[in-house]
Order: sequence, then C-alpha cells, then structure tokens
Amino acid sequence: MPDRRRRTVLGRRASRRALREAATGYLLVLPALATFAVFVFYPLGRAIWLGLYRTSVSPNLPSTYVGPSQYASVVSSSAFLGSLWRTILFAVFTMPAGIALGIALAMLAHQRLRGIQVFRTVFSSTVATSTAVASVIFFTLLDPQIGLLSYWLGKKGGAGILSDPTFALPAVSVVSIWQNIGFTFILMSAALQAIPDTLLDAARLDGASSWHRFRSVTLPLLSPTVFFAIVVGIIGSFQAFGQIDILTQGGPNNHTMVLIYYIYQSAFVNNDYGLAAVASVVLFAILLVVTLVQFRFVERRVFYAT
Amino acid sequence: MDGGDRPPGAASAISLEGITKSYGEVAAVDDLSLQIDPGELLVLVGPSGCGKSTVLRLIAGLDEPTAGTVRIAGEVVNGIDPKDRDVAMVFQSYALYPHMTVARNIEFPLRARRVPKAERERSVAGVARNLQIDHLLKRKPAALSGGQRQRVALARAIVRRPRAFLMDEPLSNLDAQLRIEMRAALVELQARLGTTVVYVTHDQVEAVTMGRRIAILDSGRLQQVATPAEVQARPANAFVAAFIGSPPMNVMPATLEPGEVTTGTQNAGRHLAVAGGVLPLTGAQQAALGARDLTTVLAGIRAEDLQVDPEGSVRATVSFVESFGAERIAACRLPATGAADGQLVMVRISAGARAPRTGEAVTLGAHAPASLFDPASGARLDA
Amino acid sequence: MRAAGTTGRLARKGARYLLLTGAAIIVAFPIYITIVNALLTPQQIAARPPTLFPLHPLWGSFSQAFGQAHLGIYLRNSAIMTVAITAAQLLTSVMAGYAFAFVRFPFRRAVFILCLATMMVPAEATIVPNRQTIVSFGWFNTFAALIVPFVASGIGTFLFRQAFLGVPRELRDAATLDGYGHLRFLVRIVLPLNRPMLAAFGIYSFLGAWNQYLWPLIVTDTTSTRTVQIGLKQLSALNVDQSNVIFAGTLLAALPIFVLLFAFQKQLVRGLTAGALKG
Repeated sequence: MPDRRRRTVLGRRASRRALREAATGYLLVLPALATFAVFVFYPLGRAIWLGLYRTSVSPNLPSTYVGPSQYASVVSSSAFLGSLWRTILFAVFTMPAGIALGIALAMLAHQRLRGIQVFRTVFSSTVATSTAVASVIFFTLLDPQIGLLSYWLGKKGGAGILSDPTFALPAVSVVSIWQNIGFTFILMSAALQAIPDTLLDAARLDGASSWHRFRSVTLPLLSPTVFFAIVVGIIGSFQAFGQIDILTQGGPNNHTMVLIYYIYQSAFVNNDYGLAAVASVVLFAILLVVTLVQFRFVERRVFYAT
Repeated sequence: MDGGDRPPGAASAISLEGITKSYGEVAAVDDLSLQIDPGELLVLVGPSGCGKSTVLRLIAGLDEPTAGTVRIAGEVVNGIDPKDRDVAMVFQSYALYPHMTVARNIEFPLRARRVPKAERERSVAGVARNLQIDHLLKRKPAALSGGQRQRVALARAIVRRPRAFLMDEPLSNLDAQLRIEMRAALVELQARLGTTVVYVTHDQVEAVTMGRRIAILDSGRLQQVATPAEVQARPANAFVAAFIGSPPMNVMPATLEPGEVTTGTQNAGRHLAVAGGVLPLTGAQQAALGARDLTTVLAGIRAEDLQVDPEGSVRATVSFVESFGAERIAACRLPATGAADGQLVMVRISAGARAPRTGEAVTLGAHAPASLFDPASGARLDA
Repeated sequence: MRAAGTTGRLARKGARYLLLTGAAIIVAFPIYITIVNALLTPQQIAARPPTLFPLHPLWGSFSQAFGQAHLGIYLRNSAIMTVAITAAQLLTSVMAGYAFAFVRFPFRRAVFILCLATMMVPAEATIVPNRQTIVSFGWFNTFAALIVPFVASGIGTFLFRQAFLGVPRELRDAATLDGYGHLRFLVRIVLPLNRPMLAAFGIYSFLGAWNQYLWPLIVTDTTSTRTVQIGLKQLSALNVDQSNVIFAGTLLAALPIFVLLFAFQKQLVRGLTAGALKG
C-alpha cells in the first residue's frame, strides 16, 4: 500500500516537471504563434472565403455568396490574365538580365587588383536603395521635362518614356534591375569566393581558356546560387509593387498593371474585395508552387552534400 | 516498523531500484538495480549503445526513468530538478562554455547558487591550484589542450562539492598516453576527495584498472557487478567473458560427452569435447550440470589458462604471435567445422617457453577449469 | 618576347580597370546624379547641357526636404517602426527558435512546421483581410498597424532554431546541472554563442522593415504615421520647380541604410545571403 502511494507521488512529481517544461515551450512560441494565427493563417483562410462572395456595386449593400464560380470567372477574365501575363513579362525582363549582370560584375570584381574594394563597394551600393528610393530617382531622371535620361535618350518633351505603352514596362524593369544589382552582386560574389582556387588552377593547367573555365568550372559551381537567385527573382517579380506605384500606377492604359497592382487597385481603389481576394489566393498558390520547388531542390542539395 | 522497513538503498550513496527507461518500444535501460556505496568509485562499462550514459542521465535527472526509483543519499529524487540533486557531471566533450574564461567556467555553478563573490574566487583558486590549472584561469577553452580542458571540466565539477560525481567517458577524447596518466590521477583525486563517483566508459581496460567494483551493462541490462578480479575469474555470462579482459576470454562451443577424463583430481561423470579435443570438468561443475539436460555448452577459458602443450588434446594451427613487452600471445586457429573457418583462440605463452612459429601445428592444453555457459541464455552454469 | 609579354599583361590589366570603371560609373550614376542635383537649383537641373558637377553647391534643399516636405517626421516614423519590428522579430524568433531547439513540449514538430509554413504565405496575399482586421481593431493610422503584424518572423524562427541546434546538447546538460534554467541558459550561453546570427538576422529584419512599401501605404494616410518610403511617393509628386528638394529627400531617405551598409558590411552580406546559404 505505502509503496503504491509513493509511486503515484513520484509519478506526479515527474509529470509536474514535464508539465513545467511543456508550459515553458508553449510560452516561448506563443508570441510568434499568436502573430501568425492572426496575421497569416486567419487572413489566408479569410481571403479564400472572401473569394466566394461577390462584392456588391454599392458599398451599402452586403456582398452575396456566389461560391467557387467567382474564382472561375476572375481567373478567366482578360483583366486578370493580362495582369498575370505582364507579371511574367516583368519577370522575364528583369531576371535573366539581372542575374547575368550580377554574375558579370561579380566576375569582374573577383580579381586581385589594387583598389578592388572600392569597386566592390560601388557594385553592392544599390542594396542601400529601397524600391521607393530607386523609383523616385528614376522617376525624376525619366521626367519628360527635366529628366537627364529622357534628354540623353532623345525623349525630351512629349509624354515621356513612362507614358509610352511600349517602353513603360521595360523602363520599370530597368529600374528594378538596377535596384537589385547590388543584392545579386553580393550573392554571386559570395558564391564565387566559395569556389576553391585549386579547381580553377587545375583547369588552367589543363589548358582551358578563360571562357572555357567559366563555362565548365565556375558556372556549374554557381548553379545553386543562380537557382536561388531565380527563385528569389520570381517571388520578387510577383511582389513588385513600389516601382509600379511610383513610376506608372499600372499605366499607361494598364500596360504595367501587374498582378499585385491589380489586387491593390481592385481592393483599395475599386473596393472590389471579392475580386481582390480571388487574385490574392491565386498569387499565393503560384508562389507556393515556386517555394515548394525550391524546398525540394534545397532538400536534394543537402542530401547530396552529406 | 521503522528499522526493519528501511528500503534497500537507504545506506547507499546512490541507489537504483528497478530502473527502466524506454523510448517508445525500445528500452535503453531495462529493470536495472544497482547500489553504489558512499565514497566508492564504481565503473559502469559496456559497449556503445548499451545504455550506460542513459543511466548517468537518469541519476543526474537530465532524464526521468519510465519506471523505478532513483535515490541519492537515501532520498528519492525522481521528479526532482537536476540542480537540486546536488550531483556534478563531467562530460565526454567536457561541455566547457566556449565564450567564458576558465575562471568563469569553473565558477559558473557557484554563480547559479548565488555564492558571494569573495567565496567564489577563493573556491575557484583552491580548485585550480589543486588541479594545477591556476596559470590557465584567464584563458578561453579554445586556447587549451585536451588534457587542460579535461582538468577544467573536473574543476567545474569539484568546485561546488557535490554529493557525487558522474563521469561520462571523461578520458576518451585524450590521446592514449595522457589517458593512462589521467586514469591514475583521477583514482588518486577520488581517494583524496572521498566523494562517490560513477564512472562510465566503453573501455574495459579502463574499467578494470580504475574501478574498485565494475558494473557491466549490455543492451540496457545489468550483466554483472563485482570486483575486476571476480569479473575476470568468474564472468557471470558469456557476454561478460567475451567483453572483459585483454585478450578477452576464449568462448568456444563444446559438447558434453560421457566418460571421465583424468587429469589430476578432476574426474567424474562427463567431460567436455572442444574442436576434437578434450577438456576436463571439475566435480563442482559436474554437480552443477547434473541437474540439467544439456548436451552442448559454451566453454570459456582465458588465454593465461591455456598453454601450448605436447600432451594436450586440442589441435590447432598458429596464426600469428603478438608480443607486448614481456608478454606473448599466440592466436591459434582451431580445426575448421564444416564450411566455416575454425575459431581463433588466444593462448598466452609462458615466460620461459619457446614461442611457436606462424603456421606451426600445435596441441593445446588447459591448466585450469573452463567456465561453462548456457548456449541459449549465455548464463554461467556453475554459478 | 618577354617585353611583349609584359606589355600584354599591362594592357590586360589596363583593360580590366577600364571595364571596372565603366561598370562602376553606370552602377553609381543614378546615385551620383541624385547627389549632384540635390546641390543645384531647379533651374540648373532643367538646363541643358546638364551640370554633372556642382561647382557652387547649395545645401538648402536638404533642410527644405526635412522640414517642408515632412521628411523629418517620415524618417522618425520609419525609425520607430523599423526599430520596433526588428527588436520584436529578434525577440520572438529567438524565443521560438530556442523552444524548438531546446525545450521538449508536445506537438513541437507540428508547431514548428506551422511556423515554417508561414514562409510560404507572401504578405501580399493577405493584405486585403489584414487591412480589414486592422480597421476592425481601430488601428488605422497607428503605429500598431505598422508594427504588430510583423512582430514574428517564420524565417527568423527557422534560422535561430538551426543556429541553436548547433549549440552542443551537452552544454545544455552541463548548465542544467550547474543550476541554470532555460532563461538563464538562453541569455548566458546560447545568445553569446550566436552573436553573428543575431547581427545577421537583425540587419535582414531591419532592411525588410525599413523598405516596406505596400503595407504602410494601405494602413496609413496621415503625415503623423506615414513612413519615409510612402513619404517619397508624396515627394515625387512635387512640382518641377522643387526638383532639387525631391533629390535631397531621396538622399535623406536612403542615408540610414547607406550608413548601415558601411558600418556593418560583413553582417549585412551575411544577413542578405542567409536565405541562400541556409540550404
């Protein structure tokens, strides 16, 4: 009898310890978890739910339940498809060029030359410019009246490059490339520095030309970083908002109306929450796929490395 | 009521009663009971993964047992926080705090107990002098040699004067030479401090040289607790026989045959047949076996109890001869059984004798009775 | 032969410097011309051929941008928001990362995966409901709206967990026996051992918060809570005859990050590449 009583006392004492440990754990994750619950998981669910309701034309009338049909109608609408297409175009304009320039600058600065640190600092300097800073600088430089770039490009006067349907999206892309060049440069430089010199020396002894060395040694070893830059670039393209808002507001005539700006306009200019919710959910789905592809890749890379 | 009711561990420094620790289906420690006397240095030895480190963690309170009672100085400590159990641990990796100086490392446990600064400094200085690390106090662990780190780890354990030290393979990261020196130093230190030590190692040589008693653990189960001499002379089972000793005991399958073999006084009833040869059984062994219906057993015999003997009946071929200074061990291969190669047995060559050559055919004789183990359970038959 | 080789090497070296300089001019030009224009009068900026070097710099544009164009207030607002978000993200990520690395609690794995999953939800996809939430809390035009949604970070939690898992388990055991609970172990052992990670993530978090654009745009619309990024948009709408103020304001807005870049170059690189190297 006393033995059994003692055992339960001991059990209680041990489980009290485990309980305290568990309480500590939950207390520590609580702030993060609560924030995620309110500002990530709940709104994600609510966005999906909002997409089932059509916002009424009059702000005083309640929205009506239309079910998944709103998803079908929005996704097949030309406005939505157009914004998706322009987002893809924007990614195509910015990513390959941005990454190639980043690699080129990193290669250029990856030499033992006097004063190379100055060049490195200059090349990485654009990380200090936010989207807004970069956009305002170029907004002024592209101004048809006073803009220096407009002047040099022979576009003085008239409507200006940002108002030209052909050049607006390319111009926004150039601004984005410039703003991101510092980051890409830093990324590629770090990757280049991680390549052992002995590998390139070996290739040199094998008589490989410098282009050949780049193609067959450097580039393959950079490929994980390039892959990462592509993923970040795709995600960044779908999130590019500030440059559009400052430079073109989606114009001229919707020629820079990318998906995120379409969501913004639908929700906060046209007050069509149902439509914006649907587009948000699609944006989430696209980026989810991109991220999952990246995770799978990273997992494999880790697997091979060990 | 009070006198006769005293639990078995009340007088022990540390007492484990029916301890089990399971992780899911797997029992890392399985129904282990062990009493450790005050001031004793008990070595817990076993192959890696046998659960010996888990036992230390259960004593320290870093883990809680699934079942069973842990007592320290008679007091049940299940569910008590590690810091309130008043035991110190020395880790294999030393677990020194890399960003703190040696002095800070050593006084760290005293800070937690809010010992006043002056007293802390006095204690640290005393322990550091004791362990001859007082010239290292201002350094960081990264600037120390392995042996120095080991001493700092010891100092950190000693400084708070715990009721017991738990040492988890404290010497296994040192090189061979230093390890042997530190063994002696630790034994000496323990004798001086008089504090109970539970010392875990996978190295049976370390166990045999350091422990007053050693406890052998395999697959979470306690195999034997005894003095090193007892463990070597009378291993409790075939596992212990094969694990302890250098070289370990030769354990060979043998059959029990009718008929006496007369060598000296050993004769009665049956004898052992090993690899075509014949080994005698003592009267006590005959008696112990008499009650059982066995035809095969495992026969264990130490290298020093075997000899190359022209009169012997076990035939073997010498594979190689190893010399360790004065001592020579011949590895001899028994005749092949079926497709398998014959077993290797170790034979000590006595001091004056001629060492056999590699490839030489010899006969082996035993000058002491073999230990007998149950072929199924491995348990000693003549307990 | 040897002479030719030396000349060739010199020529190659010269060509490299030429390339580097050309690239540097192109990359740096927008910032350079912004500095120049901030020091000119609007008339000089508009004049052609353009002035590429300010012979008589005028500094008044900066105080105009700071005062009249409210850049001072916007910078202050950005600073409050950014410091608060950075501090909060460091705190919550360290706490959660520590729990996932060192504390045993039920459903730890599931909760951790939940935190990881947040990295897959871009903030852009939840702005519509989040703005409704902020409005329903009565937080429109408050610092709470700017800060609270970002006080936790999935990637921060992940990075700190990974870093903390690198702390040997035996250090935790030793500290436990020495009498240190979770809190003191975290503060005295884990954090000092992970200073580089704290710096890297701190900068990553700081940059992210400072550069925020979309969210501040939709939850604030008054001068008293507007951040400098949104302030820049207001600034760019100024008239051409104040173009020097636009340039000066842009520089003011970029200045804090430039200072950060030069002061913490190494940590900045680590922070920016943390995501790339986490695999």
